[in-house]
Amino acid sequence: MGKKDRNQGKRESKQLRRERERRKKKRLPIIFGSVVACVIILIGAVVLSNMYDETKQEQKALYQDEISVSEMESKVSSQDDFFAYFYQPSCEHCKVVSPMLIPMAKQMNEALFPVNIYGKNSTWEKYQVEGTPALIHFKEGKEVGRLVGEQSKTTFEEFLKK
Amino acid sequence: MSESNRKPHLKSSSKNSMISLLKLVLRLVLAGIFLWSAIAKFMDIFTFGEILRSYNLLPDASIKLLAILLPIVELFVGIGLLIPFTQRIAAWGVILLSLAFAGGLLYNYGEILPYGCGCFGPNEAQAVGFLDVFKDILFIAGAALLLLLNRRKTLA
Repeated sequence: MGKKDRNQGKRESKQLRRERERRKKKRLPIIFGSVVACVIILIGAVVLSNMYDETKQEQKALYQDEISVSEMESKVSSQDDFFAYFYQPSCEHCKVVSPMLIPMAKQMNEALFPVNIYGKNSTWEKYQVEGTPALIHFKEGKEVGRLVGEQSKTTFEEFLKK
Repeated sequence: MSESNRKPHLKSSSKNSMISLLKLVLRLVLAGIFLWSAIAKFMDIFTFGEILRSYNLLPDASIKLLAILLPIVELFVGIGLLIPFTQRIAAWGVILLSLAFAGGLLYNYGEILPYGCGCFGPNEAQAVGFLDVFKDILFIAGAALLLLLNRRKTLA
């Protein structure tokens, strides 16, 4: 092998090395970007998971006294004195009213039971519910008062006191 | 350069700038939609889980995972559309996500969902209708057009 060929080989290997380094440098932002994205996903997922669990707990605590429509009806037929709080999970006004009304009723020692009436068409018709939230006072087997919609705290307070 | 030589050149450059503008508009609109959708879901992640549950398509065990992952994917797709380097993969993301959403909506077509379609967070109870599905078809068409325009550029 002559000197010329050896030099040619050296030049080619040098060029190959340079090419490899150039490719490595080109890949660097992609690798860095992927690592950053993975870290963001991980942190985001943990934060969101905590948020999800917290809200779930809050919802569970808020509606822990929830009764079904049939349970409510048996209370009515046994002539209990209680408030039925008709709500729907998607109703925006209920999202405002529930965290205010349910703890207030507990504080006042009033028997208030949330009833989810989403999709219960027969309940809407039977109790002539026009919208949610609807707070209905049952006494001696019949309705004695009703408050519909998003109302002020004092309005709910006065209604519960009656 | 003669007048006859200059005209086609001007024509093609104005066509190219029109295509660039169209691509930019498509990217901005789709990115805006997906970022808005992701943020609306982040605001109330638990309710988004309930929206997914209301579709009656997924097992309960996967609800939380998907409620967390989907908005993150939407966020990345939105950001990806804004970065020229990642716009192609983000456009594919738009197509896949929109196909999945459209599939879910078609499965519940005509049904009253408690949160509406929930595409941009919870809404009032509403039946799934043509407009809900059409919205997703529009996103798919937009992303496909973006991919096509980028392909043309590569071929040129």
